[in-house]
Amino acid sequence: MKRRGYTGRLLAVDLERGAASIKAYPEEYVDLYLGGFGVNNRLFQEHSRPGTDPLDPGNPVVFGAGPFVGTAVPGSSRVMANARVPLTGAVASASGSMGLGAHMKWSGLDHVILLGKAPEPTVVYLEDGRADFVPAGSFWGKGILETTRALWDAYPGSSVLAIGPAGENLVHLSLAMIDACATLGRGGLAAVLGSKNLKAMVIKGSGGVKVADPGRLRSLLRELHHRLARWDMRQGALELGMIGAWPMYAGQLMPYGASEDDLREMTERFGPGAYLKLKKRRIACPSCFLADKDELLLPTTGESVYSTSFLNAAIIGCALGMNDAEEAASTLALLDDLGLDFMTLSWQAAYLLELREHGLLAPGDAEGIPLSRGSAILRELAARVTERRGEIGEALARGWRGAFDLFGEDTRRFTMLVREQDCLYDPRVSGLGTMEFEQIVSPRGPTSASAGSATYVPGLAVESLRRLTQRMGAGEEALDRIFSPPWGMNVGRMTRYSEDWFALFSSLGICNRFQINRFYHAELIRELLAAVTGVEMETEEMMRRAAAGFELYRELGAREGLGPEKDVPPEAWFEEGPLWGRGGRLKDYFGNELDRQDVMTLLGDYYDERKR
Amino acid sequence: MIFIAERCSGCRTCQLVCSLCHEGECNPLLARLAGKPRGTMVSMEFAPLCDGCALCAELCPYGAIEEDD
Repeated sequence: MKRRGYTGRLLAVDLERGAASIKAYPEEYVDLYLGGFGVNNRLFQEHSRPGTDPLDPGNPVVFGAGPFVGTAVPGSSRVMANARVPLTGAVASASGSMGLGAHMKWSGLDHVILLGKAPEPTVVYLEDGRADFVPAGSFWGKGILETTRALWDAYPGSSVLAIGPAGENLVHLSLAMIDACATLGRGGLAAVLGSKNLKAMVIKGSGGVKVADPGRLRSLLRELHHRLARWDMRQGALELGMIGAWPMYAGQLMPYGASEDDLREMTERFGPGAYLKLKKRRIACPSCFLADKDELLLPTTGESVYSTSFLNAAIIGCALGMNDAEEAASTLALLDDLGLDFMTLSWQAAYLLELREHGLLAPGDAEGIPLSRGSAILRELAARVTERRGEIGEALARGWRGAFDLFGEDTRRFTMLVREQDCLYDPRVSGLGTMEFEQIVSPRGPTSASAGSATYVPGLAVESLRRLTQRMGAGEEALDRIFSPPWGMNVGRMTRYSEDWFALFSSLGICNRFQINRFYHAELIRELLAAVTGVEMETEEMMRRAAAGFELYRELGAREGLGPEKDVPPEAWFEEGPLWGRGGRLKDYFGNELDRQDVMTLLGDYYDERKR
Repeated sequence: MIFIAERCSGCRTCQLVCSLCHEGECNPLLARLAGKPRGTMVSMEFAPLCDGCALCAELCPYGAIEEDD
């Protein structure tokens, strides 16, 4: 390939035959979709057949790393993985980090496509484009941390993608972990890998990424780093990571009706001070300036564990009323080690507690699962779901569909789901920003990855929101439509640009986390793209290609019968009463109350904006 | 140049900007800082080829590299 930034090669791995072949990267895909996320969607379309069962060997898994991955562009470590996943049946484009994407690029690969099913449990080791297929018998049944550490020892300097026992047992809420501290694939990607008998994929690259104009890139990096250095919250972010923004998150994590005293108590248990007592060191993905992963030291056991982010421990600690940070962190580490989605499992625990509260599940009928708040319910549920043990464990291992099969369709009222996946954000608490709204329209169901716009930060004025949306590549006419009466900010219209912004970042390989993407603007990305790849294009053209990648993503969902007809807001949004410890009236970003008709109007505006 | 291990988060920005500056590509193995990665940790040593340009110190987000006197 003439363009720099790309390696120009992709690797097709035939697991059944234990063979791999290098293929040329179709350059026209770059012209259409930029790379990474967008090209992954195209490759998935090319290598899959609609209607294929997610756990069938014919369901491919496509990995992709965009042109910035493996370079020094700050926060550029994103690796994307496409597969049809079992929890929802959707084609999910999962976004992960740590070293996997960088090592793909350093080993001369833009994409890796896994096809078929290995005849026995296998570890695939990729080094500089070559593939070894290693029997994984001794690792099968082992946790992710033990597996990853053993593979780091066997292949020094590598990056490890591994599944845990939950993925091996085809649990629908399983996910994979990269380097034991970054999740990949909400909705059961690990079950897809497990169905292929793939315990782990290890990658090590000894090459590099050539860039078109090193001098120009160096100047842009200097400018960006100096801007970071002037950020007034930098020191706190470096020391505390995500939990440094505790005051912003705390309001959303508190139980419905919590008092000021409750807030003080939760802050003591799970806030920055609690984090510092466990913190051993911060861990960053390649090129990242805001490390958000942790190695934590648990004082009671003396055990050292990884954490995807201490904030996640705080989330489950608050949701289930755990006693302290150590209890929450050790529970999160257990779920990560088994390879379970901590959010879905936590909501399943909350759902069982709702059933108990409404007299639909007596403690004596819970097969020994403790029906009370705390870590015990989560730990017991984790074991049972992972092993598919008992009626409840087996049912919940099949996700929400399994839950309704066991407890009745009418128990859906005790959930907050879109496309059979639980919502991460409750707009009754945080207001209907783009992340909350996108849960309705995301082709894969609710995720934390996309639509990370300025509405992530509460309380911004319209003028600030407009300026920050312009930064995301929205033109003046679009801005006039978004920031207009009667809403002040039309979240349906704005979500289209948030999704395109996510598509741009994920196609190039930059992390879309708001704390990272706030330092970027479309024009800067255009300049970086030119410096890395040598391709000059107008900002509008770059955004058009990113949007084309997202449109294709939506098409892949529609192809599986999961098109706009599934864009249905959950009933719980329109109920004030508490659910899963949260509650209140549905409201917009500014705090104005919304009803069902308002949401449907905004949904119509989203579709209208998507057509433009 | 001095590498301060306890401040390092393993992001390898130092190696990526060093190889970019001196070799025109982002390649940790071409950097004038030899990294010994294990898992999520990387320990760095400056190679004799290092000319002290200090770009790594300037761009390290975590202040893990300082110029010596």
